[in-house]
Amino acid sequence: MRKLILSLAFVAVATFAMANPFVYPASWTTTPLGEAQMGGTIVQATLSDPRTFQPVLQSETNEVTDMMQWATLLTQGPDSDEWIPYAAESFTVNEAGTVFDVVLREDLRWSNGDPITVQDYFASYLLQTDPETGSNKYDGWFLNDVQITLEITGERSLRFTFPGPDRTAFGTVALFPVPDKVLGEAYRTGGAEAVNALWGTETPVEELIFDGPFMLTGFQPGERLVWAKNPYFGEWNVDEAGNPLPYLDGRIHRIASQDAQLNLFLAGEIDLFAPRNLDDIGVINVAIQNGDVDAVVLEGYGGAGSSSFIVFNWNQASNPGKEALFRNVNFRKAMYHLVDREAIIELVFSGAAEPMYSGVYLPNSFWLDDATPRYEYDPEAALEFLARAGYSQRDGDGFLVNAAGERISFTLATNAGNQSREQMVQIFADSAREIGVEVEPTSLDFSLLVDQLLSTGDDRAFDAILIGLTGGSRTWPFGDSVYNCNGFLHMYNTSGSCLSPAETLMEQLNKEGKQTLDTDAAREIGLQIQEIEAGMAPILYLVSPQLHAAWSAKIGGELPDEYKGAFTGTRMIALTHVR
Amino acid sequence: MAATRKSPHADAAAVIAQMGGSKSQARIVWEQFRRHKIALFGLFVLAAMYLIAAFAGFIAPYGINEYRRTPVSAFMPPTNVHWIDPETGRLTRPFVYEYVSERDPVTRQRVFVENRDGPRYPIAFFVHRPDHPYEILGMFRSDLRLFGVEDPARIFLWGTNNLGKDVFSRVLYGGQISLTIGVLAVWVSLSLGMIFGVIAGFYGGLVDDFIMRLVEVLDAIPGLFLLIVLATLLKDPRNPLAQAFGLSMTSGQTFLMIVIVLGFVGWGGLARTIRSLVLSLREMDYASAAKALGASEMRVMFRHLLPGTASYVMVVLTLAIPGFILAETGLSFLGLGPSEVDSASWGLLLRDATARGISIQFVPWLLIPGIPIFLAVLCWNLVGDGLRDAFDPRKRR
Amino acid sequence: MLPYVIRRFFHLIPTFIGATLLAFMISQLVPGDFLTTKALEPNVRQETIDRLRAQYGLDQPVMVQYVRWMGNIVRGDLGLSFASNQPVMNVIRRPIQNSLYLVVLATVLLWLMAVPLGVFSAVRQYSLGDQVVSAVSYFGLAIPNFFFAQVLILAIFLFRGFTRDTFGYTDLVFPVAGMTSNGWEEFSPWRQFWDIAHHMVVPGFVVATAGIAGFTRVLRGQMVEYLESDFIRTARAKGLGSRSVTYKHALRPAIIPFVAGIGALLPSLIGGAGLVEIVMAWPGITPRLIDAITRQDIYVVLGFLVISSLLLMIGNLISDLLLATVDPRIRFS
Repeated sequence: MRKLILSLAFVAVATFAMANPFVYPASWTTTPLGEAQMGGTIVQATLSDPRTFQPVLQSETNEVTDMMQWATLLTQGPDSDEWIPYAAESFTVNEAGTVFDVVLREDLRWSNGDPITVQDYFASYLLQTDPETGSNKYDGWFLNDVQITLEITGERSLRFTFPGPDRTAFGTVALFPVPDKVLGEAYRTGGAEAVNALWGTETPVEELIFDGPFMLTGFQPGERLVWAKNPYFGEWNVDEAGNPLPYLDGRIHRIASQDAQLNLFLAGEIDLFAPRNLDDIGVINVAIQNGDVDAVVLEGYGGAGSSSFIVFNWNQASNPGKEALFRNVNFRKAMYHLVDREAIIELVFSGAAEPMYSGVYLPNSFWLDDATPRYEYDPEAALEFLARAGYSQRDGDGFLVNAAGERISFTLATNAGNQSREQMVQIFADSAREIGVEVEPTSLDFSLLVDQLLSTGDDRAFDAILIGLTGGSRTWPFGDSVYNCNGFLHMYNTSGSCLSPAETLMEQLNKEGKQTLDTDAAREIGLQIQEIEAGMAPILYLVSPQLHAAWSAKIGGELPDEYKGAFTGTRMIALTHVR
Repeated sequence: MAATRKSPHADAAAVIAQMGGSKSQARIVWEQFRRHKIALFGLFVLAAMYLIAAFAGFIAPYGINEYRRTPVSAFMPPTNVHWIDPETGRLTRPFVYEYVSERDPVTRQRVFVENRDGPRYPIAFFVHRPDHPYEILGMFRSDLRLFGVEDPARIFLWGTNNLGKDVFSRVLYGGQISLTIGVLAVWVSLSLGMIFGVIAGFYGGLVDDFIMRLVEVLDAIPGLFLLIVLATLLKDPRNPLAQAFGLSMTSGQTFLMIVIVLGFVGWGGLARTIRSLVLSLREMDYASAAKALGASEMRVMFRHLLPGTASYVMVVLTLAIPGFILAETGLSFLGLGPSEVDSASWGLLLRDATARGISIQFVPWLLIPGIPIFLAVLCWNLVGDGLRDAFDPRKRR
Repeated sequence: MLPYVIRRFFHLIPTFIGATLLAFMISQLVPGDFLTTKALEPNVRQETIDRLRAQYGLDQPVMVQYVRWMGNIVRGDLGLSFASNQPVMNVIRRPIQNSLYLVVLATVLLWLMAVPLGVFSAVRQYSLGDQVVSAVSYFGLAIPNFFFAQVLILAIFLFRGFTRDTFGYTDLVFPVAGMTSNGWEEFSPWRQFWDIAHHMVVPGFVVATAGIAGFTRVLRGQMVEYLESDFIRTARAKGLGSRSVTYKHALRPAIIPFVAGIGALLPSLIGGAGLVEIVMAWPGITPRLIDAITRQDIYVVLGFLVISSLLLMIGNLISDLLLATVDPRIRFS
């Protein structure tokens, strides 16, 4: 309900002002209204060079394209999962949830002063839906293989038409513009090829056009990105006191590995750092205590937006014994009870992780429920399930055997060089050995592992793999490729068709849930999926590391604690200021 | 190409020529070597290290991957061994206490404190641990350990890593891999280098051209690329080699594969060296004499020319071994070495330290595996230098 | 002179083709390609992957890919980096330049440290000092570079604790990561230069120490040989001072092979300052190369290979030219 009141607040503010900017609610920052200092520069860090400056073909998020994909029509605030109008002044949806009419704000501006128009949004749509540009947004424009369309319906209005109702439609409507005069023009004259040739990382920064709060003014590959405030951003983004945003005059990104970032933070060269674990936090704490850095540390503000799990291979035509074993639900439940999450959290993550019992990431707490069945570490229960699977006797070496005298023996692989995954494999193998199940831990190169996991057909080369997933939606946290039986991330069974009624049911529910626009009803369906999944235990979910943050004490304007999280981060960059 | 440099091979050839295969050669060399005090020191340290590694199972109190999940012994500092009875103040049989732990609010590290009110656990010698048997040199199986303490206490002479594995035990076991990796990789390099070098040097002409071109080609490919890609490839159980020999890529087989990778990357230089040696030897009288007497080419090559390169090759090998030991640490640093889950090498143990970044300051004992690496590399170099001087008649004193 | 250079160039062609072809084949042995890992994103459709694969030419047989690539090379085009969708040259130019800085500094440091040590060892042959020097010179050789760098970083932080407690000075004496400071762009050229030099000290030192042992060892051997040779004895007999004899007559010829070795530095760049660059966040070749290898961004890997082959050739050429300048016995024919 609070969400609704908030959106009403926007409307109220909007009617008072002549111009109609987006007003950042004061509740999105801990700094009291009017106390934020204007000006100043902060130094952040990022792991690697941006690989392109081109917002459309970008295949991974980078800091530069982030500032070019800013003026999305809709957005999700840090305080809720609801979509609110951002670059749009307002939007309406028809009864069936298939037609979205959007009206643009008046004062939208690019960093070069040009107005952002419907043409710019349409150019964005054109480029994204042309397969030749290689945009990673391309897939989002199809619903059950039918394309979603966009048309210009007026000077400031756009219409999205969906082939059917879809929960994730908002994500599509949250379209960002691209400068029609540059990218759109190139597309009209030279097609996708001309667009792709534009704005590589060698492009002089003056030629780039931004719609975000900062614009790039310098790029030293391997070293840093330098930003200045976008002077036109403040015309359509203000705080509740009416001050133009952003508060900062500039920002810098140092490009460095995480180890190097920690060193830089301790040396006082960067202002914001995300500690990976308690070791990092300890080092920073000590430096603060010694007076070497003046910083604030926030330990464990939520779970990460990623999962880790063990998956068994159901497609082993050449090894029918193992195939039958892995398809046996009692066996899988037994294995689920062997996951010693407490030990994993304590030993592998030195205490800074949280248990996972479902594929929904922890920060998606809205979609999680305590009532979903959980498999805690319980060797007794595991033995019981194994007995039901036919393994109740022991051989001379103490291993469990079935009537035919066969042991349970399989290899569990993970990617080499990932120490925490290797150690999780080891802990699982050790817990299994303790009750008489033989697990051979191995580690493979990442590309090999993925290759094995994603191979299709009735005969795949692995037994079990420990790996993780990341990415996905906040609006419907279940991926098609994961829950559809022919999806390529349907990792336990890639034969192309459902092998059990539960799989079929989950596929149906996923489709149904995606089309359910009412959030609470969708949640019910989501919980149903999780319950069915827990009942068949095809994937053993393990743990999710906690997120930590540290920032120099001179930086202000972070989110209130209750809004900090994996998806929202710890601060809105536009509201960040120096003290 | 007129630009010639003073080639070290010319030296070597001269050395070999002067030695001329006299029977007391080994003795002369040994006597020369013995005078080289530092080299001798190196030899003794190496001998000790290899011996300790061979008997790691006996000396180490714990297994290679032994740890326990509860109670947690993660990142435990080296165990305090008490020699003095706190009550009487007299010397007593060494004993340890059990430890209890909690998290420090500032450093966020687990802090272990001795439970001095609890029972004392005397260090026992020659203890049997039937649950944790070991093998020595793959031949003798036993469960007798040099020392240990009774459960639930533990003795970690050099502390533990994040899972609570004993660093001391792992350094000893790690020596088995790290110390052999260099020697084996050198043999791989040597075999390839010998075969190609001798063939190239002996036949000359097109064959020589082809082989030397091959060496150049391998030289031109960045070693890092070869290492990474080959290590990746050979760790895959479906790789052609593994399939040909029916391997399932257990840790032992992975280890051998790494050896092959290292050896394969390093053979080019050796082949070039041996070729030039053979080239100069071929012109010498005894080779021509053998040929004149009707010996076959093969015979001349392997019975007469190859032995002539032996002493020089020995020096080169000795100096190459430490390079391979270091290469393994590099591979491990990149996460491409032996696997964490079922083995230990010094490079892998060092990764435990490097992965901590500067928070190593909380767990400095993880730096200990750097010492044996340092010692092994240093001593192999000292021995190599000593050997070279000993073989060189001009340096005889 | 010129014909010689041209001959050298043609000599390199078969090696070049062999090396690139071999690298191409080896990289093809690894299952999957650049797009395989992309498939792990839940929202990507299989068609998209297939389409991109065709777009990048990754669906073609290896030989076709190779011939196409080679065709581009002849036209001076190193191909496209998949990961950044731009010409390979753009991706690799800066890293090569940055590594070059580091290697040059390391070489200077190496000479500064190794020449005095080598001379000392040779003059005081078999003395205690000689033995100490050789033991110390082994230090850099026997400690893995990446590990040494990390120990130094820790030492710099610990040293800050010391300066803070004694002088109240809380800055680090040397930077612990990166190549430039914040705001470098606005510095004067002179200050920019000093800033980079300051950042280079620690990694440069680490790279240099690894070479000291080898350098000192060989220099000592060479000098000892010259010091005992007849012409030195003659010089001494003619009454020249021992200092002059040592430096003018023994050191100069002994150092010739090292001068020749300078050319070989360029290609060694690719193997490079190596893992130190990763530890110190130096924007050089090694981190880029490893990134390209793990992403299977094959043309970037090959791009480094091409440059390395070129550097190998240029390096050898420089070696020969240098040698001819310092060693009067050598002439080009």
